[in-house]
Amino acid sequence: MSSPAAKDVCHYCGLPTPSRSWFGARAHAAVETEPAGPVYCCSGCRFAEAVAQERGAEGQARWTLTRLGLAVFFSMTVMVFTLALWTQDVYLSEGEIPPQAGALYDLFRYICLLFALPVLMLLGAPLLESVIADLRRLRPTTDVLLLMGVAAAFVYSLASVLRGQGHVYFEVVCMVLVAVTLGRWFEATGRLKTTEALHALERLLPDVARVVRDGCDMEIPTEEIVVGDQVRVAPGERIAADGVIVRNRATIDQQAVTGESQPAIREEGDAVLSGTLNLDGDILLRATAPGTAGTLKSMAEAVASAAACKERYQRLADRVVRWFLPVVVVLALTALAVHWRWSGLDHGLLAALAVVLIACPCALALATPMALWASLGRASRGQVLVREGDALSRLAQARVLCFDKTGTLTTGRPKLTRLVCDPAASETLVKQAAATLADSSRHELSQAVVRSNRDLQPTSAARDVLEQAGRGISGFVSGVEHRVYLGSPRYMQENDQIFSPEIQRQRDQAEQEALSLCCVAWDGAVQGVFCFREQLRDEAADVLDWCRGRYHVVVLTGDHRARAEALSRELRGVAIEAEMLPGDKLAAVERLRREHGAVVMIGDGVNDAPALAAADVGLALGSGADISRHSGDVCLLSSKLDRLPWLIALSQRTVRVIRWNLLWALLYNSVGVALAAAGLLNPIVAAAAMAISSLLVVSNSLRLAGLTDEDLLRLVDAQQLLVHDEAGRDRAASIDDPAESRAESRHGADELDELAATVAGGITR
Amino acid sequence: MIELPLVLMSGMLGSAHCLGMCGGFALAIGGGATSVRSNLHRQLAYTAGRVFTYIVLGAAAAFGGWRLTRAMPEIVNLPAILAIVAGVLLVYQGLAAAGWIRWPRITGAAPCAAAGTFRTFLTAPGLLNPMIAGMLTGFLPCGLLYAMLALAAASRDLWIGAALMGVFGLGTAPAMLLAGAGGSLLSLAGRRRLLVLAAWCVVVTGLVSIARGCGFVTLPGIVESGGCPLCQ
Repeated sequence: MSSPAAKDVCHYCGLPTPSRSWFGARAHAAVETEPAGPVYCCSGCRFAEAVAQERGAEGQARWTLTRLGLAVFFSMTVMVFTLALWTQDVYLSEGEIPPQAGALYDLFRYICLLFALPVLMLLGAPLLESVIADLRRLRPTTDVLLLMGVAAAFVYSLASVLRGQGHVYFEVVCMVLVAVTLGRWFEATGRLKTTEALHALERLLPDVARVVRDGCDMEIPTEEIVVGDQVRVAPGERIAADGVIVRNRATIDQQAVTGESQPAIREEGDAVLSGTLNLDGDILLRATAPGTAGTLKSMAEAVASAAACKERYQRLADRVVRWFLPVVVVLALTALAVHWRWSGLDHGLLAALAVVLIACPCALALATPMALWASLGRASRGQVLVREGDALSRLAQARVLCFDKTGTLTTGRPKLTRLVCDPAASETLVKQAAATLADSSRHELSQAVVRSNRDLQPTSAARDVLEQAGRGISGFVSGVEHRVYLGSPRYMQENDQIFSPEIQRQRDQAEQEALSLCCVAWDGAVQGVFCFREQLRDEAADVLDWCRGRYHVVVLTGDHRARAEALSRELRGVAIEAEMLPGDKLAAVERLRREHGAVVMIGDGVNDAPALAAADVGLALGSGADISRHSGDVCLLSSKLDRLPWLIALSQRTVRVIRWNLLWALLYNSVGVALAAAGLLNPIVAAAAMAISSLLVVSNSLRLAGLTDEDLLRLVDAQQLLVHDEAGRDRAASIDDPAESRAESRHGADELDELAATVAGGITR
Repeated sequence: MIELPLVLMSGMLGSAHCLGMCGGFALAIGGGATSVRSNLHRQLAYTAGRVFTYIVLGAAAAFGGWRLTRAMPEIVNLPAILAIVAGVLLVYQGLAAAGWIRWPRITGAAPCAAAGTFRTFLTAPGLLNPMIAGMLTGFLPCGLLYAMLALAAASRDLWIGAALMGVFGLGTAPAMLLAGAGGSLLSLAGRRRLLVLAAWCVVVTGLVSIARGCGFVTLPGIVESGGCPLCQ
């Protein structure tokens, strides 16, 4: 995996390897100079990787697994003979032992030794290898102690056999090795399953792509695609790189990337995204991004870097784990000394070994990253891109939800209801000038102006463009001598552009109707006014209803009060703060945090970027402009508001799983260590408990990855949104009118452009 | 020791009803073979592995039974209870196999993590791998196996317990060999008849065990001395 932090993640499961070391700065220096080889987070991953590699090579002997199988065989034999020994020397008193049995039982002890030896070789050797690798990196783990304990138990038993007296503990040696290897192996495969969800995005990219170079088709690895390559994509294939179609047309299913369930038609000149599925056309496209940096790659990398950053609970676990090794060493040595003194060396050894086994901090170290990774993977499967791991736990503690209005609660696609022109001005020129200037802005109203003038002849782009966030845009366009202003009525007044009485009358009327206005002006006078009606998203009212029952909900809008009140009525009386400039929104977020607690800001426009960045969690909707996406901690790719309750449910569930994992791991470790130190825990039981504890943490976290949409919405009592969503989908599916569906897909094309530009532009902040 | 032949029969015929679960493994074992001869070798290695596990489990169960008896000598009839429990389990399994009772059977699916491991071993070349596969499949949950283990526990002697399970394992060998080597040789009707016969065989083993248990119960005053329990 080519994540930014590839050096510090396990080569097998992709989880971060322990970054803290007992040797502090020296360890870091050592890491810098260490030989470039795969790094593993534990011996389980080392083992699992060996198994996986052998499985890949067909026909080769599966030696790693065979080794384990053989070890199990020998251990079982040792166990039977140990049971036989137990019936004699553990449970029968001196007088009960039949004299002729002595020779037989001596034989049994030798048999045990004989069969335990290969187990030590077969499973001890890989463990030793892992310990040596850890020591080389100056990051010793409890495995060192574990290996020492096992070796000591073996040596003690060997001495007993040779001397012909004393207890033997070959079964402990064998069973501990088998249990540790098996447990860690299963744990590693479980972990891989959790992190798999994270790589689901990457896997959407085909491994090879067909490119046309020098007139002939050739297959090259996807990573080798460069900008400008002509890539051929057959029906049924996934598109390997972001690009523009240069030949043919096709229906594209982009659900995996944008969450848009309706396939859209793309033809020559349209942009397509990597990872989307070509349903029916044999298309040729020109790559606009290299194979290593497409939309999908950037998304996958964003998720990976979110997973790599240390979450709050993880930092806590790290702090605890840091103290583990020294504490365990001290405890084990104490147990050894005390029990040796009281009841003999063998009891001391067993107690120390049990302490080491039970204190293995696997479960503790896994508790947070496992849950977090499972949850990030689940989120990205639901078209929610979490860019910061911590954002999930902050989201779970939110008290206030702030919504931006335009583009968030509304579709961001205002409908032109009418164009009012100054009688003296040419309507065509007004349209032309407005459309040209609007083309350089991503604001919803600008885009709407462009859309409503698609039939016009294209002209050269506007020059010398100045944009003022939340107000308007100005610049020079061909056909007009003066600087042209496009924006809100307030922007016009600020730039001394006068409304003529006729236009002023029309403007007042439009404002009473609560329409959004976009004015065009030059030469000191407003020449025309585009009047738009905003469309609320289908699910907006329901989602807000849901939110209001649970959170302090505020809608922030730059619109003036009359409009805000109309909107508030439409949204069943939600609190709306009107006439907010970007700076005001920022101030509002800070005030709300002081008054109520953690604030989640949900927005998408240019003008809420500061608020998104200032909020505890900034949620950017998919159709947003670049800058706001960059200030969001979370991106809703699908731009469906009903993802909000969904995400809140996921975040709450994640935090709960993390807490339970940590609680369990801490409890298990402390209680287990106490029992083991008291000599009440057989090392075999301790080894089994260690494996089971890690598996519990892994499977508990895996439940997050398995949650369905319905489960999540039910968790927060938002089932009605699911029903709503399905109804919406039915409606979308029932569109038969080809013209309408074509318009829809055009619609999608714009969004795709934006998405591509945004994501490929680099998610790095 | 009237059980051993009966146990053998139970294994032999009882395995007919187990083919649903374990027959698949036998077929998979055959998949890695190049000829009928090598297939037979693989099947034998697989069976040997399975029987080995049964023997170890039998010994462990017997040890458990013995420990239990020693730990609680005041419970006079512990061996009787063990024998009766084993018998009831067997009768239940037999009746369930014959289709006389429709309760959920005491079987479970292999955990998913283990399934991949089995597959690896089952299809790997060489004789060692099928044997290991057999050893691992020996641990699979199976109602009949548990009932037999209860019987082994009731014997309270390591070696008897091991022998009992070994004989049971050997009994299951022919059916598995047949299934693995030649697929299903019997007609549907033939298989059904065999199934019913097998079921009754299991039931009879169970009844004998219950009878023995009841025998202990009805002999008042006899306290287990810790000596050989099989002399009775």
